[in-house]
Amino acid sequence: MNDVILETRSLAIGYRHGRKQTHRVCEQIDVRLFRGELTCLLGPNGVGKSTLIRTLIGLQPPIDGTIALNGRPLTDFHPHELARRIGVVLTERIQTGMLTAYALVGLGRYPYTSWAGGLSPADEQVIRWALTAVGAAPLAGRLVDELSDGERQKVMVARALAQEPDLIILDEPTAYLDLPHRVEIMRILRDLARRENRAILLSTHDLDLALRTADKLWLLAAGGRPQVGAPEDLVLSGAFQETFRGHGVEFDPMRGAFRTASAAYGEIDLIGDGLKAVWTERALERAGYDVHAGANGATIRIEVVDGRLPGEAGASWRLTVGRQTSQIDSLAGLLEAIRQTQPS
Amino acid sequence: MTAQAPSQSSPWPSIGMRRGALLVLLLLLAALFLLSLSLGSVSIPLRQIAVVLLGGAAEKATWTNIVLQFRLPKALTAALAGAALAVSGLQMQTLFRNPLAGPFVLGINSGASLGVALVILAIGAPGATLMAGISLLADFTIAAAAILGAAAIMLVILVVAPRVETTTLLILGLMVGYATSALVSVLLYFSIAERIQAYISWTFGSFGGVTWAQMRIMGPVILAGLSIAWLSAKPLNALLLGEGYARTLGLTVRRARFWIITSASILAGVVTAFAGPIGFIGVAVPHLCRGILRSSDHRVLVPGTILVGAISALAADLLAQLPGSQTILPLNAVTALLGAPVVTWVILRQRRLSASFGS
Repeated sequence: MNDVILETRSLAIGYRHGRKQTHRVCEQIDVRLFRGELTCLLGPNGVGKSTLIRTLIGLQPPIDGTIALNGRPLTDFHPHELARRIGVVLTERIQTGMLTAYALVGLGRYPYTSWAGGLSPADEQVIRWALTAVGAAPLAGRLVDELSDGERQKVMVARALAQEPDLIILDEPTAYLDLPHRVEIMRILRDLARRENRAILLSTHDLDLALRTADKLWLLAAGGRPQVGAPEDLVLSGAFQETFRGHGVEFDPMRGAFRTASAAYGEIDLIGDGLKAVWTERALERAGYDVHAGANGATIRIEVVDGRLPGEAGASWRLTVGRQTSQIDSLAGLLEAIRQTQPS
Repeated sequence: MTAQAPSQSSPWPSIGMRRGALLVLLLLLAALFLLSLSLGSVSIPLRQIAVVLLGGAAEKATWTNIVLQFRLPKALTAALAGAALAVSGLQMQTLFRNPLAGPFVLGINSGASLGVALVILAIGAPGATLMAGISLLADFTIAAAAILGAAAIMLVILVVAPRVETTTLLILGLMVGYATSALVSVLLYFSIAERIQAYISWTFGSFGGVTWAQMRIMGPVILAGLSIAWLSAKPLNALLLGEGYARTLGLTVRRARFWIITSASILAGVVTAFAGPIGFIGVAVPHLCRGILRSSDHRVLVPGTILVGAISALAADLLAQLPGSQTILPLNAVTALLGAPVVTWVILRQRRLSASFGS
């Protein structure tokens, strides 16, 4: 099961300016991709995620080190041979004019067809299989230009799949999509990795989704070596938090989610439990307060009153500032009331 | 449309090769071809045309002469030139992913114009004979000058092409065009009125100047250019997705670009050499074709533009004749007057400009 598809050794990536000058974006990259696994490449903007991807698919040469595909150096492959092993989805948006989704996926057969580009019945079988595998079969007859972003991305994945590659590499496949479509694309990719036993690598800014979906993570930080491992291992070792430190967000390992790190305005005691208390705490943290459960003697105290929902008549929260107590019926009102207690 | 259609209940669309539509276009081309042999300052009945084409003699001896010596080479030239310009334009539009690209975008016609301007304006030797009438020698000199000019530009482009990006190439082509046009302007400025007149009339374009002797050069060269274009249909399809995707599909972009530029330049250059710089067909026909065939697949579009290009050129030539009259309009005026509304219609009918050219 654990076949290595792609392996890099002391890889350095970057750009060459003229003959001698090189700009190394990242170096000492030793990573591996395995059959049947979904790997997510994460890192802040500008650390070289796209450069790494472009180097791995052979669109730009490495500065140093080697990339081996199925144990053979990448440079040994004929372009057609490479296209039969690596399928790619890039960030560039394509405009395809009068091309149907079916014809677009058909272009994925490019490395297999003769000089004339005609599709055999076997090629058409593969196209249909690829469209079905990503759940895009109903889109087959539609013009690609008329598809929504989510539909188009599915078709692009099908096109990569039609190359029948061992490895599919995607550069930010979820970038333009709304949350449900992001989740859907990630689910499709994970299923493809498992069911079809392919290796899949994708770069993304969707940290939360990557944590929940990926088998492995590659964390790329500025100037450093990439950290590789299962998402949970990287969280426990602190590598995940380290990679995204100092960008105005803070990873909360207890919740497995990010929260915006803002200067605390003060401390608040929150009394109550259940769903309403959870969301009250979120609202208060969003507003920049340190929230403690139970009475700890903070100047602001909030009691969650059970049994009422926001908008319903009557008090839902009891706010105590010093000796003054007020009844409030929504979280928006609660935040507003707290804000007024602050010296401006 | 396909010969062996899969079962009707199949939920899958077919990769439409538009065989039916292409057949209709072929019939239309044949009809227009016969019509252009028949119509002109003298109308010749279609039946007599058939007799002449089958090797017989027409009722009037002059008719045989007119058909074989004038109208047949002219109609052939129009059909070949139209096909060549249209395919060349299609290749440039796809390669540069630009709906306004055409056969002359790399400055090929400017090179040809400079060659011709040098011969007519600077050297002036065939200028007088050109004014006096059509001399075979003079025509060959002009064609040779145009070919040399076009070839020089093509060589420069091909040398530069592997070293720069595609967009850069487009800008370089434009600059080469401006530079050569400037040189032509300088030549025009210092020329005498008669030579300028001769040069201007060359720039109007005409399918009528090609003799059978010249056809022996022009015909095979155009067929060769069209063959290369046909072979490049598959790479052109990959390039629809952009160069990045084309490379990940296994296309060697540099090699593909070399052959695409070579065939497009040969086609544009040879037509300009023998028929002058004929505008609009190369830009308009690919758009028209995508609209008619509703396809961006170059395996359909290459044969499609060959047919529609030939049809358009024959139609333009026919209109320029003003059948029944002795007047002949400048060919370029007709292609533009005919082409501009067509392109406008095609583009307005599509919701977005980008949707019409596939970039």
